[in-house]
Amino acid sequence: MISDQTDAFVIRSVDFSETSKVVTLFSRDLGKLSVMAKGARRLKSSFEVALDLLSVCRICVRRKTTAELDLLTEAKLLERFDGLRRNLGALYAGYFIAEVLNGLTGRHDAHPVLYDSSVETLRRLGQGEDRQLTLIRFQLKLLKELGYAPILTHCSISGAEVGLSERMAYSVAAGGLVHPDEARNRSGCMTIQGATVQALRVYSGETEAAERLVPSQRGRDEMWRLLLATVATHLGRMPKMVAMLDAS
Amino acid sequence: MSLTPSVERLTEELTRLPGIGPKSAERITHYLMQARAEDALKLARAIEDVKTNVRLCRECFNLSEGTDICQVCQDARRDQSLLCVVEQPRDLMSLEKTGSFQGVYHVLHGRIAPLEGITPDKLTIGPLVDRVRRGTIKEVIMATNPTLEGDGTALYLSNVLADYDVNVTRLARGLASGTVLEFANREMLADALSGRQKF
Ligand SMILES: [Zn+2]
Repeated sequence: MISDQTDAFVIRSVDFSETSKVVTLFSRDLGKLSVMAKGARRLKSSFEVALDLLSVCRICVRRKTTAELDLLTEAKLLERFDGLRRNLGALYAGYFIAEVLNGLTGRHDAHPVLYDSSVETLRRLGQGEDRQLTLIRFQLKLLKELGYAPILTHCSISGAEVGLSERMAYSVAAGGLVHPDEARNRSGCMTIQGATVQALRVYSGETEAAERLVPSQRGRDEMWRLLLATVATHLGRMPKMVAMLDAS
Repeated sequence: MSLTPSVERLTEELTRLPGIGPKSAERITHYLMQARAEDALKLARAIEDVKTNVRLCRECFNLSEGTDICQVCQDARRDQSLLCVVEQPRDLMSLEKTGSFQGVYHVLHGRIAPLEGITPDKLTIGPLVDRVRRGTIKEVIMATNPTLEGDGTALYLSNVLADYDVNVTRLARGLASGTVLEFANREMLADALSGRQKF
């Protein structure tokens, strides 16, 4: 039987026995994979250091549709984000990425664009880039690639066009902006600044302008709150790492 | 074939051990039934002894037999100003085997792994800070595993200990990152100890 080759990084690693662990990888071409890595905790194992959390490796794997675990036949380390080992905030942000990818992507469901973006995000975090902004942009990308992109041009309930104004209504449950006429009759909408909507549009557009954008602290906080609430809605719970991110 | 309740209970208990599947459990049960009573009971008594006599050292959380203070902490020749932080008692044992460390230890009983729900309060970090606060310790050596979580734990501890007048060092990178201490050979561990660096 032929093994498939792909790049992947480790999003969860649980010790199974003295010498083995169950490793969950987010791979570029094969989506989420769970494998039993026998001997992975031994120094001389063929998987060696490749299967450490958040390490990027090139793997060969045999996908099993009937069994719970796939079969890993090779793993070679490609990249590690050593900056994460020197900055607790960046490390916890990396854990956050692993947590939401594990929670929101399905087994064997490939998202190559999201994979590339995740690796780039980990690289940026390792280089000490602004943690909040980096995670804001990552979450936007994540939601977009999974089909949950925030609706920022029209009303997410009525479909009517919504013009920019100073204060705007947003519904996490409906997944986007809410026209003032709709917002009047419903509870649960949050109020955000027009500038925040603009910033979200720029970041969603992923153009050059996104690199130059410097949102206000209030804008950042609004984006963070909105995106996190959206991620939590799809995850069914608040990510565990949020409390640790707040504390670090 | 239907087994007696006692046999079934033994197999069931064995299955709960790490790395023991139903087939292995059955094999071990079969072996124990064939073995001489005194041999089999030796195993039972060994388990009983461990559970009744072995406790955690009040000072360093290493395993200790019969006393509140472990052998390392009781040893007056050891340097009380030099403290080595490890994840598990088995890591302490590995370092002891090198014979090149004369200080004392602190066993965390795990590593900070937030994704697995292991937050700093689940480890023996509070008592570690208390020990450092008492002022005898001049240097704390981080000997957590060089995995991402092990390094993250060392980083967290170094941040916490930054408030105290203590030198925080870590094992040299003689060990390949991403591996675990337990399976490193004696020479590598000894090198890593002697070549430790400032955090
Ligand atoms: Zn002790």
